[in-house]
Amino acid sequence: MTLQVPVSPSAVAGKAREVLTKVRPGATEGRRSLPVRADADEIRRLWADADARTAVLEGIAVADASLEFGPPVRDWGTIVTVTLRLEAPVAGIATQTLAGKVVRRLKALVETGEVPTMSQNPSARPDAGEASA
Amino acid sequence: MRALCWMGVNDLQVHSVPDPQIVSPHDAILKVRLTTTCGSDLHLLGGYIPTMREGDVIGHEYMGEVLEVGPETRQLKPGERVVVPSFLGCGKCWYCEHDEWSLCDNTHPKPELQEPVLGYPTGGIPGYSHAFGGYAGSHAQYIRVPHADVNCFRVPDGITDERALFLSDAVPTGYMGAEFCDIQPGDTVAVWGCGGVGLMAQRSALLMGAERVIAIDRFPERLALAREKAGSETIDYSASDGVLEELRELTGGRGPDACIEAVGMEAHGTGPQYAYDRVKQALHLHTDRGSALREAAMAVRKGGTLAIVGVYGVIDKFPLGVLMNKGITIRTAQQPGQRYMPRMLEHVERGELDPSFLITHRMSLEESPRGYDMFKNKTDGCLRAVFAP
Repeated sequence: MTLQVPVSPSAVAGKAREVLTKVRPGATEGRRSLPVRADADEIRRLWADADARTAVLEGIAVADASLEFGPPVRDWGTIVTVTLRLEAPVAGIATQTLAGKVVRRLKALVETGEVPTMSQNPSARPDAGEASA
Repeated sequence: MRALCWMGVNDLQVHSVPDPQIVSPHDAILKVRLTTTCGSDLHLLGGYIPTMREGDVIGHEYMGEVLEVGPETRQLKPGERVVVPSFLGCGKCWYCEHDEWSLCDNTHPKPELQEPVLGYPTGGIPGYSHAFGGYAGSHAQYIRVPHADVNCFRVPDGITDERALFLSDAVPTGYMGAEFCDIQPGDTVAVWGCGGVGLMAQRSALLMGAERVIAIDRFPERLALAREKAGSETIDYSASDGVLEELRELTGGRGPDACIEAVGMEAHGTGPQYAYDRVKQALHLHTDRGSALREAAMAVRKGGTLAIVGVYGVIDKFPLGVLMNKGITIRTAQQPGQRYMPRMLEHVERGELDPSFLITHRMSLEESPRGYDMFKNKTDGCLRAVFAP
């Protein structure tokens, strides 16, 4: 067997990411939970808002996305579980990781009124300053 | 606007880039007045922290003037001078509410890049790789600050820009390290590193009541600053037969009550272990050279505290047995500057803390690549190069 040694830190990170995404190769469904500091009704209302959903799901080709609610946990908030079904697996990233991104965006929107964004982020790249930069 | 951009490993260039915009309701745009090199930038520069992209604007330690605010930003007005802790908080999540601002749940736009490495994402930080959020950094004429009301702190009129600047990162990092030590009257604290953070940790330890602070470094000019500005005793490890032996004797055979490691993943050292680390890092077989950390773990007294404020990636040969068998408490974090800012401003206003001596070189943004070269290679006595965009 030949041992292949990655030659740079980014190669090491890329290899690690590749290995992690192979935990469930080709999965199109994934779920992740997080506590959100609001009650279930408030979160449901926001989820029903088309603009809010667009912000939370931006850039992810979703066939279906749904929420489930657990009980409140001390001062952490209500446990929210996002289940994502993708139109197709995304290369290089596990669907459950994307579900994690979605539940984090939802949490940020509920708790702060905005989703953290790189929109119009300055850089010396040709796409700098654009919505998806 | 003009900005200092990371164009590749050891390649920094000043470019024209688009101005930042108000994109979220709680944003502010600042005109950057002063922004400084930080030792942790060197890890990006050297390629030891992955997920940098060609063209990224770097810099995360800065102060500025409010230029414009978003519609939901209530506490700030254009023209006010402010200093901004490097890690961004939201002020609303569980972590921010519990004063753990650097762990904020709601300011990282790219958590998927950090989760595979850390398990859970931290808060975002400008100019510090996409794994930490990818926000454009402060080595630019302007910067966008999300959740500006909780991240921008007004600088009182009596505090100059130079005195306020390092409250963004070097001071709170050092201050946190000293606070981690739970210093009791009569305690001796040893600090590895006499860079900006190490010097601030030394000064903070004395402010918190340490009887003695012993600083370890190899650069004569930095050791002189430790003695003259921070009130420390010093050990030049490059001229020492053994730092552990010296510390043992300086503390009557007990060892320091607490050790603060303010060096991080690119430690220098002496002896075969350093050579081994150096070779392994050069071959990209690991990211960290941990000789200062291992030495601090050995040096701290039984039952003492080891505070780690230097930046690390993924270290191997971590001396867990040393720590376990000696009953050492380890404390570490990225600094939650928002927690300390009111206290730090008071210290500066009362004249107990003047971090402006860290500035050894002041230059324009156009000269910033040269500033980083001096800072990296520690030429001309460079402790911190500060840019005025």
